[in-house]
Amino acid sequence: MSAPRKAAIVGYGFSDVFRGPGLDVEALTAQSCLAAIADAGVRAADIDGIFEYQIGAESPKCLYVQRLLGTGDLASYTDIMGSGASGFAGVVAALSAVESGACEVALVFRSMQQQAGNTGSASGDPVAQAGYSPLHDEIVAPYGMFGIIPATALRMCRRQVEYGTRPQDYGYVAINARRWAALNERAVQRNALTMEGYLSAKLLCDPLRLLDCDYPVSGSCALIITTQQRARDLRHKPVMVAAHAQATGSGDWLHGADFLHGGTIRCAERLWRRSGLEPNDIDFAQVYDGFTYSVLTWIEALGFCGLGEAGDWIEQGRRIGPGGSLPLNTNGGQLAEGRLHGLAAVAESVMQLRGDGGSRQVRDAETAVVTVSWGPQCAGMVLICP
Amino acid sequence: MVTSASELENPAPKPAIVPTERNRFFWEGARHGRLLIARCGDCGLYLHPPMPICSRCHSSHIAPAEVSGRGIVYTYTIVRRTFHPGFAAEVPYVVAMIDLVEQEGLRLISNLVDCPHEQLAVGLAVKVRYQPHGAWMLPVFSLSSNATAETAR
Ligand SMILES: [Zn+2]
Repeated sequence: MSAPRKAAIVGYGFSDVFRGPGLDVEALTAQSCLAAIADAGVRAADIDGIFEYQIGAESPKCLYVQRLLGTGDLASYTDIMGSGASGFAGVVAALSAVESGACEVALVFRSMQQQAGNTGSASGDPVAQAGYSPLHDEIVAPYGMFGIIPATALRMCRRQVEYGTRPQDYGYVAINARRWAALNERAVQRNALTMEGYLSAKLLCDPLRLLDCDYPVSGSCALIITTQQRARDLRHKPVMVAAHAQATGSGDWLHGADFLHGGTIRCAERLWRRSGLEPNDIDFAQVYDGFTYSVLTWIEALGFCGLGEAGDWIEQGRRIGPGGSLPLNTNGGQLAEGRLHGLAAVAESVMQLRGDGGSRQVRDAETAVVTVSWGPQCAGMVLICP
Repeated sequence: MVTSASELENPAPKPAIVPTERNRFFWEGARHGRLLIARCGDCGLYLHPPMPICSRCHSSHIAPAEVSGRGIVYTYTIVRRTFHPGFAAEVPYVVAMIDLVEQEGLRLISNLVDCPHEQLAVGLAVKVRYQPHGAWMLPVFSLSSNATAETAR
């Protein structure tokens, strides 16, 4: 009997990243995919799987990218939309395809345009749509309930009552993002933020402020995934995927019993069980920061502290900042690097685990946990590079 | 709330209520001053937003059932940003999640009206009332201690 196939991440690539809308997303996608292919040291013709996720119609699809890159026939491919595992949906599909033998070398990309499919940030004004909206727009839009920002504010208000979370707890997360972003040339928000600056940011939906939202950008990020066996012959030290997991919890953004933590707790349980690791084994974390809120809930769900305790646990940001005991979102996250929706967090982890982090390198980094989204669309990975 | 004067200043309409086959009863009920929630005819589970089968017993005997309209504020937010031009004259307004008393976790997204912002709190008892919205009526909530909140049922 042969050993089970395990996956590794062997390449990543970014396009240029812009604050403005209306860019050529097809060209940006080409740029990130070619960069990932070059980084991995594979040929386009080696790619036999392509996977991508998008929220609306903001990104090219798999078959377009096949033609764009001139890959060979695709043995496995999927465009994932709507209620997939958000920015990681394509990654998880690629990992599963590689592990199962459905394909050998998978390309994953996520391409963002500021004005489309980008409701997690403060820029995109959502439009009510009839039917199948994950946020039930057809029945809540007449109330002036539009998208994820009020849905997050509703959680923050409830969290304040259940756990006593203070505005400053979110503020330290926003400040942490800027501290790391100062060390990242790709980041769009690199200037320092003070607590005073955070607290005086515009309230969008009490108690949610503008600086609780990630920063909208246009750009693309891509990864190359293959088997661990094949990875050993490629350019870089491979980053092994020790475990990946998804979860939906009760399966609804608004009406579930797990309103505050959604599927994050179940996702974390699966990650630790499948990887055989535990929070103490982790050298750094990249957790989803579409909002500062999701950072606190992921820290708790992953078991770094108890539910409701993340505000105290981050020690006014000392624990999660440069030099802290759990460096967190070391690229500045989506709050400060920009909203590339999950894949950038994986790319950052790969860079750190290879030891290529430059001025923001986490010392002796060998293990990482990376998560995406929250609510009912959760996914995560444990990555190792011993 | 929107006055006719501010509506003149702000001609952009709010998102229309567009009943679907699935939720038409909810909006029709509101028009007649009744809060109707989909309910399983076999096991009694309320389902909101409405669905074609019961998620507990998979029965397809789902029918609208009238509820009391009494609830508790599970959480709320004061919306200050104009997400849609139709709400430009309304900001700041209150979006709340109301847990209806009929069933644990039976939750409605709605507006909390006629409540000073400094009185807003999780756990407040509220009661439904109805507000015009285009050609339809919108079930909204106000504090149940407020006499004006009482509506004929
Ligand atoms: Zn039933």
